[in-house]
Amino acid sequence: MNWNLLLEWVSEFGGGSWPRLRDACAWLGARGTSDRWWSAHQLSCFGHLEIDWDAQRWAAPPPALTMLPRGGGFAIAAGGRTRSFRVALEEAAADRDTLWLTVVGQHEAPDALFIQCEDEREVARLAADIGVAFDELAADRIGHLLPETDAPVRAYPDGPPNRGFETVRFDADAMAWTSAARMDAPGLYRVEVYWRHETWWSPAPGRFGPVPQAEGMYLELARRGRNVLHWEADARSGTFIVPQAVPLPVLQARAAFLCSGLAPSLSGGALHYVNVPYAIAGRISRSLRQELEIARTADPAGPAVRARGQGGAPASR
Amino acid sequence: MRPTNPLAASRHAPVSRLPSQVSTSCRLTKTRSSPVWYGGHAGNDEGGLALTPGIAPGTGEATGHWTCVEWAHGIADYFFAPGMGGLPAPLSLDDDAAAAIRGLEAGAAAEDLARAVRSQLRPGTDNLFWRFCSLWSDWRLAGCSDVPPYLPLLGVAVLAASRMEASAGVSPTNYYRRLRELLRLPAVHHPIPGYDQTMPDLWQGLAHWLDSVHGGARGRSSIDFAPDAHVRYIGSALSQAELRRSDRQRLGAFFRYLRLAPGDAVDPEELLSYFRAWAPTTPLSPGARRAAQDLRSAERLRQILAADLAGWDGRERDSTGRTVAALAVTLSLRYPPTLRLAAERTAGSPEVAAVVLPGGRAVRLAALTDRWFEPIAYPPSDKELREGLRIGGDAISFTLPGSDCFVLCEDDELGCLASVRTAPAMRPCAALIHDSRRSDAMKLLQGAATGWRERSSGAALPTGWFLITGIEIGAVPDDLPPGFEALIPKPGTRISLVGGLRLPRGGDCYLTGGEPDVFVPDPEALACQVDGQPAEPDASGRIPLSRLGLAEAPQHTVTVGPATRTFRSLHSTGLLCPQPSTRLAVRLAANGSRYTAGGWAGPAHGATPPAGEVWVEGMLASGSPDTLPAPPRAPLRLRSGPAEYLVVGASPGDLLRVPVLRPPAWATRAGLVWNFDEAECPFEPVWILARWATGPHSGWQVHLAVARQPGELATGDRALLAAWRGAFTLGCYPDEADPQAVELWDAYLDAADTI
Repeated sequence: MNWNLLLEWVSEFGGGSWPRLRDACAWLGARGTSDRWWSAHQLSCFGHLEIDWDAQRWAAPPPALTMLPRGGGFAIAAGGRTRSFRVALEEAAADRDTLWLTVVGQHEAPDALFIQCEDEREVARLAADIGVAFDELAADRIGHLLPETDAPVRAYPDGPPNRGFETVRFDADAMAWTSAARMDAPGLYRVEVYWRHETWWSPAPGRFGPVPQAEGMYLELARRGRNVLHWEADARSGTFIVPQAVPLPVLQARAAFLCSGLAPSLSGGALHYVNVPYAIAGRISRSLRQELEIARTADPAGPAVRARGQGGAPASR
Repeated sequence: MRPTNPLAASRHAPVSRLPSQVSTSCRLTKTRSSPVWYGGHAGNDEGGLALTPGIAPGTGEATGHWTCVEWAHGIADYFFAPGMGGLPAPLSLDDDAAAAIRGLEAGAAAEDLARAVRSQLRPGTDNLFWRFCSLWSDWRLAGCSDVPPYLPLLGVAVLAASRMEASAGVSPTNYYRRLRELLRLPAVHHPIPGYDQTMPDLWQGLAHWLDSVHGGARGRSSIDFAPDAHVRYIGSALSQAELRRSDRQRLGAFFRYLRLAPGDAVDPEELLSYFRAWAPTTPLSPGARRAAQDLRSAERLRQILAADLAGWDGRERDSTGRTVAALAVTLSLRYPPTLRLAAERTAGSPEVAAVVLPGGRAVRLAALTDRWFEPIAYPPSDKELREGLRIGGDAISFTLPGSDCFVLCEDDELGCLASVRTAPAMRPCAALIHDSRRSDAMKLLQGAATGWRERSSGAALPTGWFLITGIEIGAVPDDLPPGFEALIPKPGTRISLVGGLRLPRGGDCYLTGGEPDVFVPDPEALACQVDGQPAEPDASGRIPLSRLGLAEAPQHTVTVGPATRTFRSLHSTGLLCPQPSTRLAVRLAANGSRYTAGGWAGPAHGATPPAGEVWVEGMLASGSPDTLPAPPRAPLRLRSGPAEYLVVGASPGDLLRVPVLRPPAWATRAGLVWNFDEAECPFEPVWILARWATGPHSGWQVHLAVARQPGELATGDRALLAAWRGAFTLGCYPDEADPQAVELWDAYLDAADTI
């Protein structure tokens, strides 16, 4: 998969229907329906794309620059990335002695564009000069905006909405889907309605509500009282660890991604988002009704020994 | 005394040089319903000519038959209507055309025409067509401005040619036999007296009338004046019977078969090569099929195909000219799944089409998009799926060909699965299959496809049908069961451009690096070139153009044998931001510091969220300041290098120690050079002290960040105050070149002494 070409194309095209994007993913090498869906979903998690799956449409958002939290003066370019934008960014950065552009290639994501500065006002001026937006700390802002996961449900007096279709149920303990003949017990169900899955959340017998799969899994984990999100502190910030079986919903994933500008790495069956401050990891967890578990603290002193005011990473919640 | 041939007198005078006001013995005026003849020859019992000026001969109303005059105008109006705009206009008169002109059944109309012609024949003379010669001569002398009065004879000649394939027991090449039958001439008349002498001049006259007198405004002549020797005298008539009007109506289907769009231009030679392949597979007239394979017809066909493509409006028509569009079976994906129909909307289709459904219910179909009318809430039955369905209105009809296997693909405009003629390449599709073909379907799919699975039907499908999804045919089986042809992707009869990253710039425009793949129908037999350079297809006949490193160009040309296909490529649309018309934002409702999901917003360019809403697009959040979270305080950024930093504020007690750490592992892995570190400083930094462990300036150095006089105590904590005081006892001083810093440092030393 040529991720850069995919990002350039969605940005140049602007927006359209899901089949058009799916065909582009297929032509670029994504094999099978799930791969194509995953490719588009990844771009969405990285903030390069917005996809309304219900309406089957997508749009590339405007490009923007933002600083990384505790990120060593690094800013990243997110949002759409037309070729004209990239050229403008490269030329504008080359003209400045106080900004340094670094392109980092990634295996499962488009190139990350890092701009290093001593003063973020330089990056703000750069953004203004090339005509794009600048956000001081988009990760923090989106972290604040995250809505608490919920699903409106209603009664289905005529029976559950899986009549005649294959159904699986999410097992919160195993974090896996298992076959289910009925939908009479509370839980999260996935109904295979022909071409796609529909996910239904049932908090009580006879009551159902459609819910995106990622949000639904966290609703079920919360209903079962399972906490699966971990945060591992390092000297400056921390690593946010998410089980691969229950990936973050898009906005939550985007907040975590914008902490480093790098796609999460997969290790030990979990996705590792690096450079995620505890505060942002905590907001993500709360939005998913999760208690954030502290994996371990590499440097209990945190990034700075504070003479007063708030401390760094807490020892526990 | 035998009548002489009036052609002989004027044969040597070019038509265009003839005087227009020559007094002749016979002249007709252009009043179709009551033609008036002045002078001339006597008509016979079959009507058509009057003896006395000012007296009209028997008309259709009076005799029940049309006269030659009426047929002449009828033919001219039908085949050579004003406004043809230079398009080829063959006089392709056959039984159907005669019926359309006359408003009678096909056989009766043709007989009426033949009868009108027979009425002007002069049996027993050496030129059976003497009267037509006379009409021709008078018409020429009158300046050729009126409708050629001898058109009915030419029409009968073409009609005979059109019947050459139709008669049992007669050689299909026997033209004269058909003509004698129409003219009711006994077989002994062979050759037909006067035919060879008369007809060439009449055809010349028609060509002159079309091309010179009207300058092509009534269409251009497509008459063959240089036929092969063995059809020397009948070649002109045969050339007109090649493509009948009904055949040309079907060219819309041919262009759609080639996946062309209105406005496309294709090399005429390429069009003809595909027409030759397409003609045997479609119900064209025998003459058209024959002409498709006849090299002598090539030039005329090229002209007609190119001209008709240029004037094509995108519609497919039946032989009567009525617009024909497809009905698709649709399967909605939303719960509960529903099977319905959708009527295709082709170019030029009305905004609203009135149709009558089976059972007599009339419905009005409103346009949904350029390609579709709104889906019809009519679930097709088992019988209709298997045997086909046709619904129609006055000007348009929609057809669903019956089948035991419907290929369904996601349609982005309908938002559901919709049946297609053939499975697309490189895209999974579904198939709605009748139970009676289950074993054939399973055998085909098990051998040729992967990833497919049969789905539970729910209640959406008619009884006896099942659904399979996820079909991608990987290899075409040798023994494809009949009825499943639609499951096999066909990259197209033309040079097919498949995949690629198309840009919304109209036509075949692609992003550079995202050029499509070309599929070559017969890669071993045909030479392929891309922009004039040889290109080698792979074993499957595919040329991935994106690997050729093509630069941006307004036109790239792919040539495969005689066929060419063009496309263009753009490096960029030139836009810094994606198209603003396609915005999509996550909508959040703000309630104090809490936010709740509110679906999606599709704002227009420049629009802002209403009060109480926040939109998230990519990494940007927009909304009024009171609904957005406050931006975080900018961190203190410190250069890497020193062993540690002390940050001192104006108020005693404001002190932050920042140990300089190694670059984070993730940054090192990414290859980022870590030049700065950050600290969240809860106060305004005034002094920044750095301890260098090595180098010529090892020890502490101080730098003034912001000039502020010492302030009040920030804390009563003695340890913090002692630490603050200690910062001024480390033995470092500001650079003497900065007198403000030196003076301020002294002030801080004084303040530290007071603690």
